[in-house]
Amino acid sequence: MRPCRETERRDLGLEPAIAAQKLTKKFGIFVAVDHLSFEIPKGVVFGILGPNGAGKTTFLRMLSTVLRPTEGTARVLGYDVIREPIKVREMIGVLPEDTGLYDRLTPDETLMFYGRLHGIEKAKLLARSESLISFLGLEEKRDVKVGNLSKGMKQKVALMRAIMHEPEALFLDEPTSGLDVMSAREIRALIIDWAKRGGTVLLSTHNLWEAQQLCNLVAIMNRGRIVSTGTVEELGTVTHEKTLEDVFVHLVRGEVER
Amino acid sequence: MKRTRSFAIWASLPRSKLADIVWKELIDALRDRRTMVAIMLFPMVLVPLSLNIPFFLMSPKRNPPTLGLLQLDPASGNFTSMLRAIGDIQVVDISSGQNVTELVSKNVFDLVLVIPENFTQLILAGGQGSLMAVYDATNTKSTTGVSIVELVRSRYSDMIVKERLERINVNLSIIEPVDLRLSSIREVTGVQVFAGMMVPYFIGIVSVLAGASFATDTTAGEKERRTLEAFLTMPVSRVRIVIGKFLGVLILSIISVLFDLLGVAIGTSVLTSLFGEMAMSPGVSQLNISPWNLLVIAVFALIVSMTGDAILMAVCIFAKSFKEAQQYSSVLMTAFTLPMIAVMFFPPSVLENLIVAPIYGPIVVMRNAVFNISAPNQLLICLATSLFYLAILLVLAIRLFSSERVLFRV
Repeated sequence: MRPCRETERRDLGLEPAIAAQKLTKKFGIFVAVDHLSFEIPKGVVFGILGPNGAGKTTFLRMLSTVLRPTEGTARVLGYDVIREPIKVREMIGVLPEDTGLYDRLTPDETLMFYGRLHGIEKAKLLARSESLISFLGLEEKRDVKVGNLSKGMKQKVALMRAIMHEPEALFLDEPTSGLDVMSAREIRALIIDWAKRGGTVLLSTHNLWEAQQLCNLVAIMNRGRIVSTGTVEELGTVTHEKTLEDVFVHLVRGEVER
Repeated sequence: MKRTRSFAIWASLPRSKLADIVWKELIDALRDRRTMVAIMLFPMVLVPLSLNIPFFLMSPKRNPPTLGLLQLDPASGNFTSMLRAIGDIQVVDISSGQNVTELVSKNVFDLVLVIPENFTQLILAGGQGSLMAVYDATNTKSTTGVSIVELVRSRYSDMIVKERLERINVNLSIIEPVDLRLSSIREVTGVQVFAGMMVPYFIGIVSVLAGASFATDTTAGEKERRTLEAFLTMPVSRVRIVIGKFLGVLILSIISVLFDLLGVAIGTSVLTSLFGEMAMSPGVSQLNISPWNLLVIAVFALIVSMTGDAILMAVCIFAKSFKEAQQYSSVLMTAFTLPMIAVMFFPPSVLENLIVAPIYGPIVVMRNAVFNISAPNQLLICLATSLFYLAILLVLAIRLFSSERVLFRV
C-alpha cells in the first residue's frame, strides 16, 4: 500500500477532506474493512476500485455514519464520524448503491422531504429544486411517482437528493451502474462539474474506464484493505502497466497470490 | 406550474424534522392500496357486514322461514290463526298424502307442522293435544321456524290452561307457586350488554390491525426496499426517525379507528333498521353512555392503538424481511385478539386484576365505560401502567433501530 504523501498534497495546495486512522469494521469474525489509514484531499474525485466483497460499500457506509467503525476512527470535513455523526451528515451527500428512493413520492416531494431534513429554508429549497429539476431535464416527470420512472431518471433523482443541500463532499456508490449510455454520460458530466466547483467526490465503482475518466486519485481495495493508492499514472508507473485495468488486475491478483 | 396537493401542504408545514418524517410516512402509506384496504375497507364495509349478516340471515322478518301446515283437524282454527298472526313465518297449507320428511329434506319447506285429527277434541276433553314438527336441525331457518312454532304453542297452551283454571275457579298461582323478580344492581339496556362485548373488540382489533399493516411497511418494508440507508445518511437522529414513524403509524391507526366507529354506527343504526326488530334495533341511541365515559373510551382506544403499534414497530424493526415481519404480525394479531375476546367472558374479579396488564387493561376500561361503571382509581392505574409499558416499548424500538446487527442483518 502506498498512502498519499503529505508533501505532494501540500505542493498541490490540498487539505484533507477525509482522514481515517486504522478504520476497521468487523461483522462477527469477518473483517470487512481492515485497519485503513489514509487521507483524501479536498476538491478531488477519489475513486475506490475493487472486486466484489472488497469492502468498498462498508467503507462508504462508515464514512457516511450509517455503520459505526469497530476500531479506529475517521474524520470527514473535520468532523468525527463516531462522535459527531449528525455534523458529518450535514456536510455530505450520499448516493447509495440502490437509489433508496421512495417509490410512492414524486421527484418534487422527494426533494422537499430530504431538503427539509437538511434544514434548507423554504424559498431556497423551492428555488434549488427548480434549478436541479431543470438541469437534469425532469420537468415533465416532477409529479410522476418515482416508482414509475425509468432507472436513469431514478438515478438522477437520487443524485439530486444527494447534492441539493450543496454538500462539500459527495459519496457515490456505483452511480452509473446499469444506466444507458446517455444517462451515464449525464451523471458523469454532473460529477465532473461538481468537482470543478471545488467539491470532493468519493466514488466507488467497478467501471475502470469511468474511474480513469473521472478520478484524480484512485485506491485499489481488496479484502478490506487498500492495496495501493495514487493517480492513475502513478499506479501505472509502480506496476509497470499501461491501463488502469491492467493495474487493477496486477494489484488484485498480486494480493490474492500473496 | 402543476404540483401535487401533498407537496403544497408539505411546503406549508412548520419547520420540524419530526413533522417531515410523519408527513412522509402518511403520504407513503396513503398511496398504498393495502393501506386503503386496512384503513377504510375493513372498518367501513366488513364491520357493518359482520355485525349484520348473522342478523340478516336469522331475522325472520326479513327472511321468514317457510312452514308447510298439514292441518288434519279442521277445528284447530284458533291455533292456526295465532300461528299466521305472528307474522314472522310464512305459512303454506299442504294436503295430506305427501311425504313431509321429503318436503323438508328437499327444501320445499324449512319445516312442516302436522296438526293431527283429534288435536282439538283431546284438548276440549281436558287432555293433551300433540303437534308434530318435522325440521332440519342443520338449517338455521328451520330451527328459527321451530322457535316460532314453540312460541305460538306456548302462548296457546297458556291460554288453554288459564281457561281451564278459570272454569274450575282455581287461581293461576296454583300451578306457578314460585315467582322470580329480577333486580339488577346496574341499569343497562340490552344494546349496552351487546356493546360492552363488541365495542372493545371492534375498536381494539381495528386499531391494531390497521397499525400492523403500516408498521410492517415502514420498518421491514423500508429495509427490504433499501430506502433506509439513504434515510440514515440524513442529519436526523435515529430516535427522531423511530418516533416519526411511530407517530405516522399512530395517526393512521386513529384514522382507522374513526372509520371503524363510523362502521359500527352504520352497522348498528342504518342497516339494523332495515332488518327489523330481530336485529340490534334501535342501535347506538340506546347506549346511554355518558360524555365522560365516551371520552374514556376514546382515550383508552388511543392507548390500545399506541401500545399495539409500539409492539408491532419493535417486532417489525427486528424482522429481517417484509415476509418475516408479516409472519410476526400475524402471530401478534392473534395474541392481541385474545384479550378482546376474553373480556367478554371473564368475571369482574378477574377483570379488576387485569387492569394493569398491557392491552388487557385498556380493553377492560373501555368495557366498563360502555356500562358507565369506570372507577377513577382504575382509570389512573391503567393509564399509568399503560404509559409505562408504552415508554418501555418505544425505548426497545429505538434500541433495535439503533442496532446495526438488527438493521443490517440478512
